[in-house]
Amino acid sequence: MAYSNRTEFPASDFPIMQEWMVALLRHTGTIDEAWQSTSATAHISADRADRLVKPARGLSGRERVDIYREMYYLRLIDALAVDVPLVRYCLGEEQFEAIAMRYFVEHPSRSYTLNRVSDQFPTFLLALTHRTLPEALHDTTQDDMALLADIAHVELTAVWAFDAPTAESISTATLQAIPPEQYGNLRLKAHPAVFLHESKYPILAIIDTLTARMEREQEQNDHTSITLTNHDRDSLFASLCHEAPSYVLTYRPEFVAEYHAFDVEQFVLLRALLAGATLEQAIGTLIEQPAVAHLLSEQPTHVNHLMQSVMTWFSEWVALGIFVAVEW
Amino acid sequence: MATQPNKWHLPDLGFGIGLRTPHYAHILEYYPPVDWFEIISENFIDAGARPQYVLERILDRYPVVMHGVSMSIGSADHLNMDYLQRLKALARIVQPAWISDHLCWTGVNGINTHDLLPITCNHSVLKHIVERIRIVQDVLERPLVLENVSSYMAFSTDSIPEWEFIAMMAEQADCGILLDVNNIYVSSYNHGWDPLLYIDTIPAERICQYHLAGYRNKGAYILDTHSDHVVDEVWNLYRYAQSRTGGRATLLEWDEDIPDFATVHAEAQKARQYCTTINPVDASLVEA
Repeated sequence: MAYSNRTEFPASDFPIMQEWMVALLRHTGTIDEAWQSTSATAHISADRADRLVKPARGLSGRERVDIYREMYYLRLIDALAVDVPLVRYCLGEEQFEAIAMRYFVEHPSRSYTLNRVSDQFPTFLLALTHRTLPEALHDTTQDDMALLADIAHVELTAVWAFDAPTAESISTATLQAIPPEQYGNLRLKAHPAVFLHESKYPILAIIDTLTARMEREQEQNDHTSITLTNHDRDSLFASLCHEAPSYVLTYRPEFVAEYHAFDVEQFVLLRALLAGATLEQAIGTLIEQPAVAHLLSEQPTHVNHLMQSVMTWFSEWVALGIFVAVEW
Repeated sequence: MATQPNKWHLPDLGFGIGLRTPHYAHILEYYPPVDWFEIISENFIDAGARPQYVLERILDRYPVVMHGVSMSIGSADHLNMDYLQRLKALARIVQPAWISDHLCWTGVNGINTHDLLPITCNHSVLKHIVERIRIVQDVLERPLVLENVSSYMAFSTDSIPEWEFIAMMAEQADCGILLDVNNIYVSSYNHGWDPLLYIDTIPAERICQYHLAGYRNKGAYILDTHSDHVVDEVWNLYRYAQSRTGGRATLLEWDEDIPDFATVHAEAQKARQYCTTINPVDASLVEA
């Protein structure tokens, strides 16, 4: 075997070689298209690249690089599929791969862990509602994509909650020790495993329906991964996809993430608290909420009932363990 | 077998298994008699409650070593100091006998491909990597142990054989070596190398650990998949390597198509048998 000090590629050129290699990995075309793409030839011309990678065992240099290319998107798409199984189920394998590949072209991993590769996926799906969809998704409507973005976000809140660090929650006793006159000044810090989601669809009902259907079909198919056909998805979405706003709290008390359905008042109050508002400020935000404001203008005495509800919710949230610190 | 201690007198932990999620429940229920576990560092650096709980239980009963996949020691990028500090923080909890990663690069310009990409073996890259290993060792305050990776391509810019590169790197950076015998076999097949020459060249006193795994033969090349039993040729190479070093901690990796715990454990136990029956190597079994 010959080892030489060829001057065509100075030894110190390895940063350029690495940029060239990453350009090849990220290119979504064939190896020949990637080899001659501007993203690759900006670093090393196609001719020079042919001399850079040695052939072996009947494989050309291009074919050897292609072994790495085959694994690059596959690895990322597999990681994404684990995080958003319902989105994959709804889209079907081919369409999921097409959209996942486009996602990773725009959002390559920049983390040391694969656990973070899906983070931008809901935002990406939502942005697609304003853009031309990939050809493989010609049967998918913009409304479908908005719903899929919602499903993806709720699925990811469970992933984020699962991966969140442990933290000691404050107890009811901690709260009871606070002088009542200070309640208005309370500021609370959320447990890192707490996430909120607002949807224009009945999202938890949709997720429950899809999960049950997917698990039933997997059971019937010996636990192999299965997906909906376009026709099934269209009819399923048509039956589920009526507009009915819903609000979700995702929390992981111990080892398993749980979804809790909220009404809009609970959601507005908790969102304000988690954003750093005092309890008094959060209640102010709640009262300005259009539905609440309308109710109070018609029935001013409803404010007493509302305050009772606030204290009940507050107690339930503390009992659930979603706060880790309180100050006043 | 006469045991020759490694340079740092790191312990021979025996025969271990890579800790993988599908086996968590079995391990925590039965606490099987495994000598030690190796964790993928990145899976526990930002561990949530469940992985953290599992790790704490494992640490109560077994020695654990940390094995990383994202240090990217060969990258042209700056070292990720945030990552190294997190790795160090995890090491304070795990108290591993050593910390290992791979002789490779995983990305550049901030992008992580999550693959173990091959370096080009020349003096410029050697100098670059040696400098980085020294920095990592200063940060971690312990020797770094680096593993040879499987590779599917080689460059005309290579001016040093990989096995000589590793020997020079280890001496110059004063680091340890995790010798993956399966990777030697895979790369030897893919590049036409002599696996015995590879093993003979690696300084025995710097070898701290062995890796074993199964692969997938694709005909024109072998893919290192960690998806099957260890093949006879690799067992024979392992036996040969152990005959040079004496007892070194050995770990079986199984990452794809992961079978039940008993199957993985039984495969790891085969290594014990190969270590106790050191016979002359059948050269025909290790021809790549």
